[in-house]
Amino acid sequence: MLNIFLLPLAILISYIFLYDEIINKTNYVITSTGYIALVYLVITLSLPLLKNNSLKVKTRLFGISAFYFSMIHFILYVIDNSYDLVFIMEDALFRNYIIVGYLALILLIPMYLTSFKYFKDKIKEWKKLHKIIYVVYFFILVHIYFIIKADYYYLILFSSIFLVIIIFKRYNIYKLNE
Amino acid sequence: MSKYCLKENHVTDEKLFNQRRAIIKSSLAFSLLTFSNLLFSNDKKLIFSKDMKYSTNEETNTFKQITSYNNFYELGSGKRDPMMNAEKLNTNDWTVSIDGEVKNKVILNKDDFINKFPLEERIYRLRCVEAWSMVVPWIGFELNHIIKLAEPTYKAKYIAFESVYDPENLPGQKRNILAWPYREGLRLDEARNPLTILSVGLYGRILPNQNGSPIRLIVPWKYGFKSIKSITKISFVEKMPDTSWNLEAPNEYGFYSNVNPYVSHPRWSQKRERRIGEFRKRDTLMHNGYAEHVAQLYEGMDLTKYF
Repeated sequence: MLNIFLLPLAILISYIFLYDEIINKTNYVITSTGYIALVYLVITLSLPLLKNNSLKVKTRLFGISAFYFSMIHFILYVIDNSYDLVFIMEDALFRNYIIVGYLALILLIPMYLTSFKYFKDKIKEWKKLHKIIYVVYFFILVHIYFIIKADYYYLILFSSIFLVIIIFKRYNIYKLNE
Repeated sequence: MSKYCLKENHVTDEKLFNQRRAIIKSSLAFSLLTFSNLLFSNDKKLIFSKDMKYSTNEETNTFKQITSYNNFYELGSGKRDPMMNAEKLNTNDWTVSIDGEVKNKVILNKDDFINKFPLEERIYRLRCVEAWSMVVPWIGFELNHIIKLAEPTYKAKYIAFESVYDPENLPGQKRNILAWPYREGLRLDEARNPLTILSVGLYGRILPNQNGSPIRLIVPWKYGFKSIKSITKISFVEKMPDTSWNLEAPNEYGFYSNVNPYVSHPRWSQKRERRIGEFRKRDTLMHNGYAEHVAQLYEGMDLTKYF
């Protein structure tokens, strides 16, 4: 947890305060925490594909950290709007990227909870439940799509990664069945 | 004996020896040339008067903030890209053609803009559609001077502006991010408003490339993207011209794009903005605080429809 969550967070925070080239600091942290969360989701999806047991242990930590970064991403958005609930509600109702952002965030919660033994014991089907990650990833792609003004470079990049991961998983299942 | 024993490579070639005066002259000319280049480089100080009538007395953003947080997609779509890629915009031999429904078609070069018109400093608020803003001390002159020079005919109703097109050198134009070249437009009465200026500099110096060198438009009561950078063509036209962002997303970016806190954009509520350098957001003002000068231009128009 130290290496995967706290260290990147510390680097990000010190970067903003020590490096004076970042002009719009709040926007920068909001955007970076969002992208870090997405990259962590990519890692969470890809690590099991490597079939390396020592790395598999880390999968859970990356998943949990992805949730923490999304939460920071969301909390900063609330702070950035001065905790103004009317404004935040209006955003949630009228802005597409905010709506899908909430959907992705809410769907992360059951996965986060069932990462802990207490809930794993209660919900035996937790492994099936974790398939929601694909839906979350899809919502994040839509979230990015709605916020991009014109340059779809990052959307294409993360959509391609998503496709490659899905193809690999399908291929693995196919091989197992043979 | 050894005193007179020169080696072959110590003797100046007779041909070169005979050209010695010409060589000195040419090297002098060369150094003069580099000196004059220095004179006309971006460090050249501009001569200008200070405007009191339209300028705000708010604190200006720093030179660094203004020059390293830019939207100039020709130089890349990241906020720092324009600064990093600034040298890829070649402004040598720059000309701006002024044409269309006018009596005088003119072609001006970049020095004309500095020498032919009375430069003044205008300290304006700049409000980006992405809900951030800055205060910038522009150096420029009213667009009115160009209109007077060109003498539009009765047919001219709008002005269409076109920006640089150089896909070989401009990294952003290697991909179809926007409909290149970047295009913008104003209604003629908007263009005639004394607030509308063409800018050639900021903070007393020639515009850095990332801010739209050598000449750009500033329309302070409209969202930043209307203030087209690095202009190459100014055409007086009869019909409302196409604009790049409108072509990209017509339901998001209208032709007018006046700063309006009551009309929200699908991505950003326009009620508030972050002044760069401040943490708490501030309320956005109607017409970016310039309503007293421009509100009459839109009298009787439904601004939610003509956004």
